[in-house]
Amino acid sequence: MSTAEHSVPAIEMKGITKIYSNGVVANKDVDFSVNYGEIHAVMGENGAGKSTLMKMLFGLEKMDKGQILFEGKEVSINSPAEAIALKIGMVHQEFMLVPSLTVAENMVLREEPRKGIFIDHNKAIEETKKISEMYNLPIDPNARIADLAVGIKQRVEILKALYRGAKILILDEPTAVLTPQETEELFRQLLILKEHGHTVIFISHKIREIKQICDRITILKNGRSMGVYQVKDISEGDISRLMVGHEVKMNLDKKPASPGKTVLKVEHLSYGYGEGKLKLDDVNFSVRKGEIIGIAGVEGNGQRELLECLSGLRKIQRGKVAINGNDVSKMSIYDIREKAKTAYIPQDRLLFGVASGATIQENLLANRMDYEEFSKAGVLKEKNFVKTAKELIKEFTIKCDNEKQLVNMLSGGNIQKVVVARELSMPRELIIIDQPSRGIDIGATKFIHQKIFELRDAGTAILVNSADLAEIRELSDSLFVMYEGEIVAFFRSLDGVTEEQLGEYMLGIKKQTPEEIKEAFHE
Amino acid sequence: MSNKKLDLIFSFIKTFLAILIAMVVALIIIVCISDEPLEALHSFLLGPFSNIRRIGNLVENTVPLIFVGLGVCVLWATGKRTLSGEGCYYFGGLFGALMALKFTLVSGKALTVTSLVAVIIVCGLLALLPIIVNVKYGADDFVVSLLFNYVIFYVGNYIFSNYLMDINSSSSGSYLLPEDTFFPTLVEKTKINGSLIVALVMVFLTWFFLYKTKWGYRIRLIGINANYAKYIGINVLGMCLLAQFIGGAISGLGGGVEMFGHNPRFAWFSLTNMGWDGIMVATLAYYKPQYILLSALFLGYVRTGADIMNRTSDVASEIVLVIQAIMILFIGAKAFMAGTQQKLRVKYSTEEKKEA
Repeated sequence: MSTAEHSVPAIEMKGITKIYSNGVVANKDVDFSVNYGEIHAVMGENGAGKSTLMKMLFGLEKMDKGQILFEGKEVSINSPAEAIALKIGMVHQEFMLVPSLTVAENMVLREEPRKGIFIDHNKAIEETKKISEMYNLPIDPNARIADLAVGIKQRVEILKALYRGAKILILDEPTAVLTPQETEELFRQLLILKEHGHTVIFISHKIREIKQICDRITILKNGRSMGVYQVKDISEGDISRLMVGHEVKMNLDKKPASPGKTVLKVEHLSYGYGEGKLKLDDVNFSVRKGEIIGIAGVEGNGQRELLECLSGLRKIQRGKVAINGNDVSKMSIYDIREKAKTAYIPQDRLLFGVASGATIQENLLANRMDYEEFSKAGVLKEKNFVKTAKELIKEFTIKCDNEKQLVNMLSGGNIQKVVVARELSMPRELIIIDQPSRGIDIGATKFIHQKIFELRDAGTAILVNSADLAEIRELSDSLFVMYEGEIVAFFRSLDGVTEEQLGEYMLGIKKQTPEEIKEAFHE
Repeated sequence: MSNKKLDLIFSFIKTFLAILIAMVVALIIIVCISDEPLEALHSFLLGPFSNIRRIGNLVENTVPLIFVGLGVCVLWATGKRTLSGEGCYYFGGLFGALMALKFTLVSGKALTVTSLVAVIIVCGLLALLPIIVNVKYGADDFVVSLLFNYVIFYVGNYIFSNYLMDINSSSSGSYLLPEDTFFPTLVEKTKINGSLIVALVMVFLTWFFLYKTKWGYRIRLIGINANYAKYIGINVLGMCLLAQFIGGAISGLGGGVEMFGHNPRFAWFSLTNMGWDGIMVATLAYYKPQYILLSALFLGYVRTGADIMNRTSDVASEIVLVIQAIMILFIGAKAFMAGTQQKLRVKYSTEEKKEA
């Protein structure tokens, strides 16, 4: 801390402003600075401009105003190559690794040691070992990336940055994809880096993690800086207030569930033949009226494939899925939605959830054009469209100028509300929700959770998948854990089940007996 | 100023500047190569308006461009960039002539209507084939439709040389088309005829279809985000086929109407290039049917002017190609004016914040 006052900061960003071509103000007059040897958190809700700010530091985005000082000297960083030259490294949320190559090959990519015109593989392995020993981050240089767990891939990314000489390491939401155990391991690694005098910039919106390992914190809100604080001097409540504007209590009133008849039945569902390991392997479970079934698991263990099979986006290869007795494999997506009365909120809202180049109104009503209220002989009834769109915008508190605004102008939370408004505003028997709060702010999350509870109490069957353990625990009445395409654990009730226990199943360390897992299925 | 407004204003400014730059370059070239540059310029710029006959030529040049431009608006609306307009336009002309000469159940204006309806159906169906191959066998839509145009042409050429060619005539071409089927002339001493009305009606219908019906709406949604369209339950293949059918039909109708007033005989011995012109017209109109009339008029004007210049001065009409190329280059270039727009965007959003 005293060094911060007496020496020049490693990096200083002054008056940074960035406006995207869709008009969104991502950063406005933001000041930011980090010193060597500190772990510095950049906090804020999604859409607050954390990633954008860091992308400008790493040369991935061009800033519109402001300057960057490196060790006190003004620099311009126009590409990642220039950032790397300044010893800045970045680990992205999506890993930038070549899955078919080995760890060592990935490590040296772009700066391969050569023997004549050939790549010197032995040297690459040697270098990898050297750097891994130096920082006490063990890795097998000969392992193929595709075979590694998420936590290890992340370690490769960190080592890759270190191999390129990074002294300042930017980590973009590194814990979002990790289990509690893997998170602990990551924190151990970061503390080692700190001891070596490296700087870690840690982007996150999880307050608890930041309290655990960070020294200082810069809080962003709506693209503006809310100040820099010593982590030990600021309480969790204060951080939350600065991020959101008011303290958010996530305590929602959740009544006990009273399940009725079975709505969704999944029997012996398998998927992914011919792609190596099965993505889904003999999955059996059911969802009844008026209950919320949660799916926990590290991402990429078949959850997405499962939900896409249920909603008709993927063809069922083996097994049986029935919604109120209707065989899903015999129905088009349209019929699954309209005849079987299923709603589906997809994980990737920009890819599947909305047409971002279309207006809010067009997105809200895309699934009900066939209704008499909205079209006659194929001609749309514009008046009713506008009226219903206005109502939905009000009911779901979507923040926008008007219903004719393009969806890509909205914040992540409001885009999600558009999806939710469209999917949850019609009477449905079954609702499938993938990552309800991914990348959206706390206020919107609370709103969506409340809506889910309301619908459950009204007798809807609900299936939720979330990689966020806290969220899935809060939402679910019962929960199953997926690991490598299989259901490895089922909990009828979550009372007394800890996150660490769930973590063990998520990592595949433990597995329940077939009898226990069978509990997930009701006739 | 809102970002949406800014985008809109800039797309107009960009188009205007692109046209301006293209025209200026063309004028410079004319001044450089012509012995009588002033006369050449005069006939190029003002020629199309100098008398009623030439205005007629302008309209005559514009009408087919409207059809093919609208065709591309619909063909491309789903994001499948096919070139079917080219083949359909050719076959529309051929099939229109075939009907007019060989279909004997009806005659006169009834034959005109029957022929055009047949042209619409046949050309619509022809445009489906490339997309079916694309979806069923995964072949690239662009390449398949490009190659398929040659299949259409050679089939058409077979029909022409075996059934329609008038071997006794000195001018090579088909038998004379029956004059009682021709569209009524609208303006005396010109070739402006009923096909202009058909074209204008088509502008309205295409706009209405794309923006006011649920099918057009679905087609546009597929174009904006095909994954989303599938997820929301839209029959993506069905809608893509519908778009190709309608786009092909409109392009074919453009070829068809040419046989009922503009030409005494069918005399196309190669593909017409109109499909490509359609892409240009549609690009200039930002793929919006409501702007097609303007962009077709502009292109028709430049071509008529170049034609007149060709005949009255020493500058060849190929100068049009220069203008077209420069124009499309600047309109298509995403970076053109992007810097200025970003600066204004920053300025406006900073100002707005101050007011607030």
